[in-house]
Amino acid sequence: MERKLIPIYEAAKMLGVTMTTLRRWDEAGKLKAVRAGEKGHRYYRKKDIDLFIQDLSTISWEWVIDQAAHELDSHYHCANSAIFQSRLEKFNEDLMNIKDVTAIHSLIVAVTGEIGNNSFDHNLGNWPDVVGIFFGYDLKRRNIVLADRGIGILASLQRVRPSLASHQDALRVAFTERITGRAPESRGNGLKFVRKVICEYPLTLDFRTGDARLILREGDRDIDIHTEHDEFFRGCFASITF
Amino acid sequence: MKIQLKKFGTTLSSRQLGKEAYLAFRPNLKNIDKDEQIEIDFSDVDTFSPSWGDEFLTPIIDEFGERVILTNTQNNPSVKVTLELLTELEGKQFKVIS
Repeated sequence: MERKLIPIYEAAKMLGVTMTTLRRWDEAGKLKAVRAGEKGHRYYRKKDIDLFIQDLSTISWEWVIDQAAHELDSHYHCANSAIFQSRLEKFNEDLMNIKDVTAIHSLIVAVTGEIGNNSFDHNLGNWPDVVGIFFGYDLKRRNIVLADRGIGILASLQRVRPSLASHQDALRVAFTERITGRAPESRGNGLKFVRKVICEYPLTLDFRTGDARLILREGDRDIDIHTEHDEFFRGCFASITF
Repeated sequence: MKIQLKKFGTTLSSRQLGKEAYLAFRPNLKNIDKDEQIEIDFSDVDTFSPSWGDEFLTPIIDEFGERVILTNTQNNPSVKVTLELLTELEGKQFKVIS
């Protein structure tokens, strides 16, 4: 047998997914297994697993769109806002070591905090399955990913504005109007702050909820929301690059 | 009175923590003189966000108005952008001393 082949149960543990998910990914070509042994069981090359783990967007995206809810690896999972806050502080420290982002490092952390805390604020007591969020960052690729399997922006805002009919409308409102799914509390500035920072500084945001997708870049003045017809999910997904 | 924000932490994020900070500090504001100024000092704060800021600053400014001054806000862009946003969206007028 080829050296460094990893049995499927170990690969599942490393990736924080079930063996069923891995079999499905193999059939779909997302993460190909190697057939080995007399019975042709699935094994994985270590380098394939390592590459997959490094790709935060892939691992978090697969987690949010999977029909079956599964627990995340503790490396990425923030089960409550206190854990998220402590990881945000660690992220703040790690980011300080990158010299050419010194001028905007506080903004990167603030934007990350607003998006992550937004997930907790709007899903507290209402998480449909997995409680908490995915939070990961890759300083080499300059990428931060936050994701949740929560109720999503549309369901949250419909509580105060029932006329909202689509994920696109809800996403637009969330980023442009002062509205909150937690009214009458005075809230609703978080995503406006995120928009202001992204549009004024060298950052990019890819934000998805339902079938709606918003990509914001430095210099953008308008909100351009696309519909992703083939990929629907319930919660929120955000990828920030800097 | 001087409030040093760094004593609440250096990554000031989330409404929950902003509210907790305000509630914990609130008793200190009870007995100040009626003309006493309240200086909120941002020095050594790494990250400041509108959710934390709204929960902490807004009730203090609502209660003490013109007596509140903000200092050392210029060196940190997250402080600058947050104060701009709270001014735009909430109509808050901050008395900033450079």
